[in-house]
Amino acid sequence: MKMKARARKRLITWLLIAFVSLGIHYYVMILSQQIIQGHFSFSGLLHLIHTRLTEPGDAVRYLDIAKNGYVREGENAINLVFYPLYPLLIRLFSILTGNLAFSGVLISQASYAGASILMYELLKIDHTEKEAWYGVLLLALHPFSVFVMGIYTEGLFLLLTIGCLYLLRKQKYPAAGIVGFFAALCRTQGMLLIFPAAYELIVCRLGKEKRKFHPSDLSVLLIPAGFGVYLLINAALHGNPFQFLQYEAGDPWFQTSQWIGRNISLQFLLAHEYEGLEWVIYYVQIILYFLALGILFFGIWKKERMSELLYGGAYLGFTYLSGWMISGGRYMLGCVPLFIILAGIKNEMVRKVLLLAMCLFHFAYSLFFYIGYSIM
Amino acid sequence: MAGLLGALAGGGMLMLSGILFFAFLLEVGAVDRAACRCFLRLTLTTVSVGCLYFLFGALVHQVLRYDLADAADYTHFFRNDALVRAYEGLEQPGREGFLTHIFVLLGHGVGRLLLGQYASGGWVTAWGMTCLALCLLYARLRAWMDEEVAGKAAFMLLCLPGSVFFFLPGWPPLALLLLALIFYFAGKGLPVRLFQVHPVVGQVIAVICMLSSACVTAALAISQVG
Repeated sequence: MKMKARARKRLITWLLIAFVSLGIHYYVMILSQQIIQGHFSFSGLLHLIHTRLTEPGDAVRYLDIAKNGYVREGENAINLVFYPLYPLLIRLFSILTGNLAFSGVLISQASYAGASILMYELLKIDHTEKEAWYGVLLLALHPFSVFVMGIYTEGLFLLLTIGCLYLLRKQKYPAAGIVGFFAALCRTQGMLLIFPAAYELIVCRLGKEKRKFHPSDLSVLLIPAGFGVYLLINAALHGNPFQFLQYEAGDPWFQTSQWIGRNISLQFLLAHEYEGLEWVIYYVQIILYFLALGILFFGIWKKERMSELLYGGAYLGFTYLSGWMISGGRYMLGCVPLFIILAGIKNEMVRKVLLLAMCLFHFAYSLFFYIGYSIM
Repeated sequence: MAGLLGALAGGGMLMLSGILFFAFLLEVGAVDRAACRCFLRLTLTTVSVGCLYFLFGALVHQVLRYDLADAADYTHFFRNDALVRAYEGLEQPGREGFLTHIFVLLGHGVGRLLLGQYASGGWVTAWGMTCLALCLLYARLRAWMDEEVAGKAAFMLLCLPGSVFFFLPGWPPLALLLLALIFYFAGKGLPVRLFQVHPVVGQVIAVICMLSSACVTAALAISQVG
């Protein structure tokens, strides 16, 4: 009886988290629509959802992959740079819904709701209920979290990343390996989950916990295997497993790997060159880099879980190796350890001021996005 | 930019004077040390919130109404008719409404201390009034509830939709200060009933308030609030 009541309470909490997380985004969307049009109208809101969540940027490319798959030739051959899991899921869901765009939005938003629930559960391992909720709110209020609402991989990637980190903490390595495999099939940064996985395994075997090694623990190697599958797709289509790198280096992305210091100074120069984009893209990426770095140092000082810090450091470093990056703000949403560290802040005043700052900047960048600015 | 530097220098000196005054009161034992620390913390929080609103307004204004001509003039970040009248009044006090008139007279005086930076004087006056009002409210609330809850209640006042006006020249900061004074001196005998909300519910309510406040601030930054 007690178990049943506990399970019921847990379910209600989960539903509440999903409702609050998505509710925040819809509330901001409604407020933005009012600012843009000067008054609220339901048709205006639907128009905003249609035009801004399913049409801009990468959304069109994901929908094209979902519809036609990867192609060897033609202008859409460069779509190979987008990882296959998300468009594959869109295709599968569209069998049920009959609409690719609707399926894409549904997957993103449902995944994000799931990610918020898992974030809560992950935080609950080391923190109080209040702190866990705070972490969930910070995730929802990230300045660039508007992307979890549309046809982008952010929602799905968050779900898989947080899911993998949660399963690692629970020492469920086979399940973590499978989830990590899909994370690596969703986005490049997914394969970085091998760092916390390896760390947790080593700590559990050699550290205080002295857990006996089990052959199934090796299933964490599935994480890099996810990336391997993507390389196989490249090889099967073009005979070159690293074909995607060639496409990324060309038009329209012009992205090659360079050392972080060089990239940051390039960002600063670009901010001066592209007037009007500095506070939308370039300065923002520079600020986010240093903020993330500062938060990770703070996490080390606060003795946060080393596996999560490792993932955060690897994620930040790997992301900023990319030259001529224009989606840094969006990518940093996936740096989950930052939210874990911030959720653990004890000073009430700092927590409140931080929450207000997140609200303000989340609103600003969501508004810019809905208006149609180049928030990538 | 020069105006901003002037305001920062003058405002910094006024802030230093205030801190030194507090230090003196502390030295002679005129105020309780713990209370003084609380007030200082609250003042710092209020200033941080003001800075956040300012940065947010600057960001929205710069991105949505980009204009090189007013990029360096921070008074252009937030604009509506009432603010324009307040800025004019600060330069040359004239025929404003009663409360606004009192405010612009005070702001004009502070503007003189800032070497004729009247708009900056208005801002410093508004921020000072808001800090003082928050401290008074907090002091009264602390008599009814514990320190943490009182701090939260005072902070929430800065997150209500439209709170940005407490940091801008005009009647709102003065009205807040007057209400705080009334609350402080006449509120002693009020039969206050406290209701507690679950911390998580409190956080969610706070987020809704903050987002609504962001909406009003953004609307003001793009001159949609009349």
